[in-house]
Amino acid sequence: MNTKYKNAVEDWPLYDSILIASNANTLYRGAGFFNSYQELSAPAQIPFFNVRNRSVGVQYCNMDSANKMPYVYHLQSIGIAVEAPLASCARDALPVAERTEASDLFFANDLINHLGFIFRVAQDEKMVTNARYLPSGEGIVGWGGNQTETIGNQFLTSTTVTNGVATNENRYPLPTPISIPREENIEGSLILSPYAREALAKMIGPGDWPCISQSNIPDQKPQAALIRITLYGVREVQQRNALHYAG
Amino acid sequence: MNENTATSEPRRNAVESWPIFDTVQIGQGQADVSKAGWYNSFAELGNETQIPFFDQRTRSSVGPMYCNLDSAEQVPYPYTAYSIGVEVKTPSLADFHANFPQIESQSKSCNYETFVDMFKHAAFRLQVSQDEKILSNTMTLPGGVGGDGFYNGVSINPVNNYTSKFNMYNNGMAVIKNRLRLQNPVHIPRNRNISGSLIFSTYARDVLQGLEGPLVTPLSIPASPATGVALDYGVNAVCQIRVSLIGARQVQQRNDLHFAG
Repeated sequence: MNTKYKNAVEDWPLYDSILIASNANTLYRGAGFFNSYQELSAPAQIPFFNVRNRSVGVQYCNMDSANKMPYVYHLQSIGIAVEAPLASCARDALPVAERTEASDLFFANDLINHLGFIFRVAQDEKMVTNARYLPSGEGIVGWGGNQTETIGNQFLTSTTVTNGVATNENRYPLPTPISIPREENIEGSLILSPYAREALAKMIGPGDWPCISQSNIPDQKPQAALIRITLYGVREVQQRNALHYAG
Repeated sequence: MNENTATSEPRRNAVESWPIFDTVQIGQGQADVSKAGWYNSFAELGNETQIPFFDQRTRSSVGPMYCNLDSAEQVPYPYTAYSIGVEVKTPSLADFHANFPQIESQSKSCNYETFVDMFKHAAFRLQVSQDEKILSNTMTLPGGVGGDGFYNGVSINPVNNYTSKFNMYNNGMAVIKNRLRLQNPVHIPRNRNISGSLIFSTYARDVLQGLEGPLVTPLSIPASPATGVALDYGVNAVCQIRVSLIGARQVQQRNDLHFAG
């Protein structure tokens, strides 16, 4: 055939996440998710972009395949978001040892100082850095005042801590984009220092959201912490739609 | 030689965006980390006339989360630095649960604010070989990274009076562009050594030498104020000084997207 094929360039973010919440592995079907901070202390490395695909939910991963890139991709910026629950539990009806806010705050703001990040295309290291250098430009911003009264003997603290100022342009730029060939595999690894693993092993949580059911009975749902790594860039795909011409 | 063989083809370097960074940690036990050149206390740090960077540690000696240099001797590729930043990090949690004597006594006196304040009284020097390329007060070298946000704790129990104090200090606003831009980039030839020195003033060293800590970062609460040892529910607190160059390195072409010549 003599028809010429031309790729179209499309803005396309890629992202992958791990969720940390009680029963996250079973309840939310997440491959490589963790049930607690303590469980997160076990691996020396946490892999991204080669474990999950969109079957875990497009909220957490938009990779079509966990094995290789189905299109040519030009990576223009990388960001890592480490997010604790917006509210942490402080329940005086339960033993004080179950208060989780100290662990949540360490996870949100301190842990990342002890995480390395390596990004590979095939076996080739394209980025080796401390995770703090990769602000995500994402996050909830604002202010929450806690109340002094109790709701079902449960108190909440308010936390809006992000990795860097949450403005979309605040990401580690790649003026020389990282070009990823089609059908190549990529991998991002978060590497925990011995100090990070020691701290995680001693942390409790994430805790629970206090919920008041319709019958006014206090209930609890798990809170979730997460780490989301985002790649911003463009992909090259075959032309589609009427706006494209054949060659 | 056949001109089609790989060895006869001209070599071209590929330019890759690449940061270079190095970290000094201060905390109990940090001086014992092999080949790290770290410090056990603020006082130990205050004893130094210069704190060296970029020629002490490597990625294999301390881990890629603290340093990404392959060699402490020389830079293995041509490198162009477009910006430089100095960060200071303290634990977020201190004075976290007052009236628990075991924690209070070990976390209250961490003096993080004083430690951070001393960076107003510090300068940083970057040298390429013997050539001084940057010499500036650290306040002029914002890191451009760090935490951002808000925490509102509670004081809920009238008996134990739990309080929650949360620290978040950055050298400048945590926006990646907020770094000293080098309008005339610093070019570092291949196999050349670089070194950085953080230099505290006599005043800052005097203050640091009298500063207690870092001690303990609490991570949870003991079941009873009368039981437990602080480290059962916490870790040794660690402060960090991190210096970074953001720029580009030149390396040999790799992968299918590169062409041979």
